[in-house]
Amino acid sequence: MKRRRLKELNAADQAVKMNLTPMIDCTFLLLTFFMIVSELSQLNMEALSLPHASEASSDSASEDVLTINIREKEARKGIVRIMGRPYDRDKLAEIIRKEAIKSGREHDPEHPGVEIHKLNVLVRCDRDAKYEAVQSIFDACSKSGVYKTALAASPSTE
Amino acid sequence: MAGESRKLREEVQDEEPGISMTPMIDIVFQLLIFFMLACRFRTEEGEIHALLPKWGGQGITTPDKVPIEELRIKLLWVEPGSFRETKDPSNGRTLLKVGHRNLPYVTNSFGEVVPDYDELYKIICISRDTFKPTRQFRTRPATIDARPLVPLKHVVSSLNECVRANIKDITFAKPEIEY
Repeated sequence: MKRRRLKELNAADQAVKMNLTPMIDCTFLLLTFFMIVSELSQLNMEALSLPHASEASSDSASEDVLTINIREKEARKGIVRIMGRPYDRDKLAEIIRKEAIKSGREHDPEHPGVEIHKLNVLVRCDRDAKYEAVQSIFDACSKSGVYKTALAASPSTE
Repeated sequence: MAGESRKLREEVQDEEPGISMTPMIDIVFQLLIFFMLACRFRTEEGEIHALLPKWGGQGITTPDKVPIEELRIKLLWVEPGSFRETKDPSNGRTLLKVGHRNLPYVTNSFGEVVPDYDELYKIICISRDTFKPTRQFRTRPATIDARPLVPLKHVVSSLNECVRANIKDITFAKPEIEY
């Protein structure tokens, strides 16, 4: 009688306990997933509504790329962003000149004897921003001897 | 007395040192919340390459003797309902012009009234096919000449049609009218 009573008490005790091991496993899996997926150092890739272009290609060949981000609201004030920091047009021209000198020169394959800077300038801009914001960047590039430019676009139409 | 102290000693020896997992689970949840908030899923993104005009101040070393008729795509900012250019950024529309020809408008899948880019593509293809390659240019060179007030999306769409038509030499021009 006494032994049966002890057994019943033990069974009641065990029914209340919860095994947390699977929960810890799932938590570690989620943590690993988000650690791999999140990109903490992507200051260059600001969240913008890029224009659509079906021919936009995702392969960028050059290592010497200067990424310039333009938000529609800031574009009206003449402000652009590089690595998350805002700059006005005068400062931008100086930065492009410095980056161009740092990147060095190469021979233009299409025109032998002519040297151009290796620097590629990638402009990421909101689709509804006016073209003058991009044009001012192109002007600064031309004055610094940088001729290779690219515009970021979204290949999908959604 | 001796029996009780022996029982106590046995109980102490029987208890194994345990590690409390609760703080570890707390830290793991903290890390999980941090990475969930820091995670940003990016949309697919690509690039369209274009060259800036090089020959503003430099001389071409091997110029072609025969002048080339370039394909000039103009994007003007005009008053709604007319073809007159305006400087009002909030009240206007984009007019797409190739040579002397004004392209018509269509309604796209987003419900916006935009220039007919399919028509632009056809014009570019005809222009490309009638070009004889030279030493300098493999395909007819195209220049995109857009006014400052034109929205960027229209400039990119024009550039996209040039790339779609396999035009290799695409440049951006300075505007004819200074703002």
